[in-house]
Amino acid sequence: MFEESEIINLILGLVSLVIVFYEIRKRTIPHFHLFFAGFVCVVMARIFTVVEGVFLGGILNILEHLCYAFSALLFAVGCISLSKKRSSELKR
Amino acid sequence: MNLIVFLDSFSTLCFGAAFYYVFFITEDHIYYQARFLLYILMGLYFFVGLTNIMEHAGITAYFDPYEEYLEILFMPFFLFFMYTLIAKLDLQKQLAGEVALKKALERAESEHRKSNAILAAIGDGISIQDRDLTILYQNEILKKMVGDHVGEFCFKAYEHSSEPCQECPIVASFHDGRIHKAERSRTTDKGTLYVDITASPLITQDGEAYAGIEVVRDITNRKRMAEEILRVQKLESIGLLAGGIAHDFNNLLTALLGNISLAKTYAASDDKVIAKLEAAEKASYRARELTQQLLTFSRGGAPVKKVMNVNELVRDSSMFSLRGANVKCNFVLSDDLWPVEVDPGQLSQVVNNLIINADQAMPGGGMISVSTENVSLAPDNPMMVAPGKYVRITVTDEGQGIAPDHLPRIFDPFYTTKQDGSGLGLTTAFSIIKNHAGHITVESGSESGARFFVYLPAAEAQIAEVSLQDEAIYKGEGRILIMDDDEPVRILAQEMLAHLGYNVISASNGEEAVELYRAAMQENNPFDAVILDLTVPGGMGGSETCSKLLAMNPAAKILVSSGYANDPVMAYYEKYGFSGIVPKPYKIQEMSKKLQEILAAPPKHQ
Repeated sequence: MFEESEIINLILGLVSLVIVFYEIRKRTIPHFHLFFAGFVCVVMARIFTVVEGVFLGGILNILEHLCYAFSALLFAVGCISLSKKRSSELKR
Repeated sequence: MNLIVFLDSFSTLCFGAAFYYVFFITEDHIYYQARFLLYILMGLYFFVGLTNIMEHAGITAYFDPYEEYLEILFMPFFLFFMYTLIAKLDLQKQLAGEVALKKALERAESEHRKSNAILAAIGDGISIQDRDLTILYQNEILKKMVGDHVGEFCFKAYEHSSEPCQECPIVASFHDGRIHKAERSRTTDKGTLYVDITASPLITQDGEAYAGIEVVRDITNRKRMAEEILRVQKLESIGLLAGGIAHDFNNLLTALLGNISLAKTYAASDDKVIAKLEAAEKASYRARELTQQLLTFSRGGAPVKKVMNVNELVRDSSMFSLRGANVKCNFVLSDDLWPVEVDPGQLSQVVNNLIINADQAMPGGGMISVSTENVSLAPDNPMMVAPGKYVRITVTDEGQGIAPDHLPRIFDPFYTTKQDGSGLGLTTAFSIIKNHAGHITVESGSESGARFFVYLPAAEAQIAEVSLQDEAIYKGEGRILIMDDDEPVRILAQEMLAHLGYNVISASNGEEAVELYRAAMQENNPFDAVILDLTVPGGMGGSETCSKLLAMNPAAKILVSSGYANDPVMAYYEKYGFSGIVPKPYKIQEMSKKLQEILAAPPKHQ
């Protein structure tokens, strides 16, 4: 059924997600949307991990891995774009 | 390949790529702490991906238990990463704010410097007062003018008054918001300062005057010069009047002195009559000296130099200047003083100015030392004066002395440290001495008073002896034309010349003289000599008549006669074509001698 580590992961993920959304709403943090999107995907993957133990195990497992893959893609694109941005653009 | 394996492989590849590209994220992009956290985050998932692939491949399940902990770590690390970014952004904003503030401060500082430079370059004093008339700002020029009074009431600081001045321009500008001007005199440590004030209000955005700015222009020199010009004009008017009086007086004296001298020749045998005539003659001479003083006072013309010993002149002028003063004079005059060629009137003026200067330096009384001596200046003398023999006149006072910073300027025109001084006395002295090819210097100690030195070049010529021969009457013969507008002088001259044996024809002006001369030439009976009065009111004067006569006869012998001894024509008579001068008033002896001289001399113009 539920593994303890998965529940902890989920709780941490959801709490972190709330904090991240709160901070995003509170402040404008430019140029890091891809990282936040990747983070959301990770949290979704955690949700799917927990839920797949209850129902639709196969599909949700695929969705979990898909979410990880998508988050990996977003992080990769985020890091590549950040490394190529010029400092002048960042300061703007 | 299984879809899960593909997705995990893709994830691992992407996290690997992300991990790789973090290398290229520099300090400019994110903080090194954030980059470090990003490394950990990407590294974590790259590692998780790798263990998953290994697990799928059946290589090992060794890392499976740790994978869960690693995933748990991801969340707090991501939060750290995010807060590090936020901190970075906050810092950037703060830095941007600081940079903007610094730039604004630099701009303000630059504007301040620019304003100060403009205020200093204006050259006028600037004062800013608030509505209570408290001085908020003074530029350096105004501080030099009136002293530093920032924080004081302007009426107290500038006008020494306990309440705001009547018709204060700055108060007026507060009331109507316009520019107002005023002229004021302000008492400072350096004396009275005359200033021209232009006041304008400083207005807020609401149109309220919160302060006023005064531009203060020092017009002391301008005012003093205007006063000086007025004084000089007055002096010129008085001089002109004095000159005119002296001229008329000279004509009267000519008639008086001439008749006395003539009477003396007629009454040669009667001792009592001669004694009375000589007394009258002496009085007339004194009157002649008076007219000469009047003419000197009128200051006109070039110096009329004569070779003389200056001891007597120095003594007389000094005593004359100190009449009524509480200052005594001590003379140390050299007995064997070399003669100098000077204009006595002008040198007397120099001595007067120096003595008056010394007297004013000792308001409480004291002693002025006046000395004359012979000095020889070497080629490398400190005054850079031409080497040679000089007569030095020294005037020393016992006053406070002259401040070292005033010394270089005391001979400058209009420079004076005295409240009512004209600044012309020493300048005139300097100018006169320079015209005599001499030099004037001053030295002063802080307590020993001032010492003026006047150097006059010693004359090569000897002093003309007033011999008994001068009193001789030289008779002669020939035709003389005399022109003078003054009838008594004309009649006297006629009688004098007739007594001397000459045949005399007279004219009352230049035109008549020219006609008579022309007629005589045409009749082949020319005049042997002509005596012309220099000044003829309303008619042709001596100079013009002389030119016309010389045009008719270049060999004409013409004497000029005038009471204006300082007139350039009298000083440089040869330049104007005359053969000699007979200054008025003249005696029969002087006239006879001069006629004798020119008639005996060969003609100058052929």
